[in-house]
Amino acid sequence: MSRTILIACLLFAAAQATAQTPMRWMPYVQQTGLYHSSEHVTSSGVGIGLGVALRAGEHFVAQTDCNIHWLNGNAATTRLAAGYVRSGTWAPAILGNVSLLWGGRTEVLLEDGRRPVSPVAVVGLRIAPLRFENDKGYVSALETGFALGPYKGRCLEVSILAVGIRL
Amino acid sequence: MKAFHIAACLGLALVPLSCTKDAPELDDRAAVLAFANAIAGEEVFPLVEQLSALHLNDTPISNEGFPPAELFPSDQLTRTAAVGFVANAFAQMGYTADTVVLGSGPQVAYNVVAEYRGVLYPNEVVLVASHLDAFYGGADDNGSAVAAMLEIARAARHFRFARTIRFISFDLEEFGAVGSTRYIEAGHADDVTSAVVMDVIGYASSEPGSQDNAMGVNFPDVGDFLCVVGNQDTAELTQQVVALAHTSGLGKTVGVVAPGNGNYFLSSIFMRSDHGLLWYNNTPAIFFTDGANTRNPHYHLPSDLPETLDPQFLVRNTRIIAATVAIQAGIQP
Repeated sequence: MSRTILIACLLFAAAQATAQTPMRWMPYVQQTGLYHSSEHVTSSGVGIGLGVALRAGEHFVAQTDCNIHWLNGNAATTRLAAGYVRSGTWAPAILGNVSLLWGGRTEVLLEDGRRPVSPVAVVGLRIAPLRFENDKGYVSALETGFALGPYKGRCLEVSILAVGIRL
Repeated sequence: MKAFHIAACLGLALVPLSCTKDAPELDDRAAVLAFANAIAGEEVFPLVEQLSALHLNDTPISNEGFPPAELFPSDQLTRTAAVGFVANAFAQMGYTADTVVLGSGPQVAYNVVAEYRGVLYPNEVVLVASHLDAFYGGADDNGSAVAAMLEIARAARHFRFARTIRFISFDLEEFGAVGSTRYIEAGHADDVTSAVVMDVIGYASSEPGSQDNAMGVNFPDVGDFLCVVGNQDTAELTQQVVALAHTSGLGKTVGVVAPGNGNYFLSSIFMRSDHGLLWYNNTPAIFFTDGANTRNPHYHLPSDLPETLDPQFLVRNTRIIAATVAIQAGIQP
């Protein structure tokens, strides 16, 4: 339920922001790392992702992206995030995000032999302290996200470098 | 804006679709359990004691090319007496035992093999494997698994199976699965359709904190379970075994399913035995272990002796593994 409320709030904020000001679209590519560990699912790896960011108003940013990670099978994540961004060249951001973890993972089966839930949905926060933006796009290094999920899951996501181009 | 909304809605719509996957039903559950319960509890542990005594009195083989290291006392590896013991045990049960000698130089491998022919698909072979080489007394590693394999072989002769069961004790597992690698690379496993591999299955502890995690995979804190390890090829079998053990009271298990065929960097710890090359070659294989050094403080030490093991735990594990063999070999009513 809390997950649904968070998502609803993010979408409401996005709708408010985008209703008042012109929107700027920025497709981006990123190098990513993932480590998710819970009582029943371990997903991890490094890889790449593609996404699109939406900037609206002075301080609103939303992102959705798909990423693939290797090292423990072929794991994929789809992510939706939205939050606050500082205006100006140095534009750090803080975002709430929901990620779905798909594909390769090591599973510890449930006691009765069932396989754990798939995909795994995690909800958390992401900070982008080294994010720089101008009228051509943005560059962000070491974006770090921490999220919680089922089976006492903890998920660390790092975008080592992301580069977006304004359309 | 429309594209973003579509992506967002698609992502949100998928959240409620997250679901678990039930273990497939067993068609021949009663027959499988009958075989599991044919394991004679009193037969298993004495075999461990005999094997351990043989290892302690045996002469270590050459460790040329394998310098000793922490948890790898390569100058203490014995196998010669165990080869004779296993071959003799098979013969006493009525099997025709064969010793497949592979390799040359200071570390020749002696793999001991015996077959029980299938009644429907005799050319389809289920490999049931343990390794017979050991450091020091090697009660848990690997007298426990050799004893379980021998008891399953004894019980099997009172039942019929669709497929041929090939019992095998590999040599030189401790030097890097040398015996099984040579066996597979020489083509001796070309007729193997699936495998059941066991390695260190007799140590348990009821103490909190007695079980460590493995490469980021979280295990229960108390080391009182048998670890049942599969990859994607054997995921359903792993589910069936865990479900059967849970619902029938055979014993406590924890099932692990590695991604793909298991040979990824972060799941490679689950390939640490004779099933490794089978996984790599996409041969379905399931692996049983008590977790080795993630649980047993005597792992590869002189203290790996029979008195450190839990005989009842070993018997329960032998029954669970026997049930797995029955599923894979297609036990006949």
